[in-house]
Amino acid sequence: MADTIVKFNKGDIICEEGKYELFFYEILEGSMTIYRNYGKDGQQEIGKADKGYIGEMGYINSLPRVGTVVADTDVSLAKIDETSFESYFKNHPEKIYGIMQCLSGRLNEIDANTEDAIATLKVALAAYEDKNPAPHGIKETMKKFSAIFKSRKAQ
Amino acid sequence: MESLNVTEIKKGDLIFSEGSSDPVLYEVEYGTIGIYKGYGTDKAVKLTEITDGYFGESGLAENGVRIASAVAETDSGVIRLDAESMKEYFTENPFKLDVLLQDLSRRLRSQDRRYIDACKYIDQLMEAEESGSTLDPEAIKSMKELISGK
Repeated sequence: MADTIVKFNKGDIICEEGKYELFFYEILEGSMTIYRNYGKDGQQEIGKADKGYIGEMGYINSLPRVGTVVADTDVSLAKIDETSFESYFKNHPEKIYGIMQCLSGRLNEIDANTEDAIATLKVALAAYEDKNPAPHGIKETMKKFSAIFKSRKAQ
Repeated sequence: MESLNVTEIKKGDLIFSEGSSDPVLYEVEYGTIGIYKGYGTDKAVKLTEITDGYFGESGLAENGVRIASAVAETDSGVIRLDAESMKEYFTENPFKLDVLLQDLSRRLRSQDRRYIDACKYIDQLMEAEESGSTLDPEAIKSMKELISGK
């Protein structure tokens, strides 16, 4: 089975935040920006991509898209879904290490985020049980994690 | 291919240490591997034991650093998979790639749940502080379980 190549023009929306899509892309050419609340009040740039893979977490974890991906340039992508997954890696065995690197990076990132969140929770809970306000030093961090929860709850 | 042979490891041998950079994935052929934080210090904590499947994926990430140490809990046999051998190994065994990705997916989902739970509890603590309300004892119990790793 040949690779499925899809092309987008500069300015096109490649993926939309909140959508469930059971495929991901390998970036062949071009660059893109990932946004939260794209086109709305509170639009926030959360990352850029010009190599590797995008959307693999949505495919592998069946999670909604975490952001809207917009093409900064004309873009060429290899689309990988359930039917093409095996043939894609059979055709490109050299890419197996690349996807493993990508997923490993995601796992490391989420491990680190979880450790930070739990450390913050521990301090905040101790303050609550002592009937004290949360220490000033962690208030901003607590707001960050609270915002993350509210954002995921809304999806 | 040499790297696809089973490497024999003796009980007590350190396979890799926390903080090292070593872009190799391991598959357990037999035996038991212990994964530790702080191994070799008086704060060592065993995170898990692995008797089947893969470990060591944290080292594969670009600029990846091992987040834990791996130690043979028994005499064990492992297959070492680096960038080159991974290509041949998963081409010859495509179902194993599927198994590995499913395993990573399960771990990502599980850790994501813990992360969002932690964020939820922080949100609850903030609301309790702002409103002056008291948290449900069950909620506090859940928070403590998450903190203790249960």
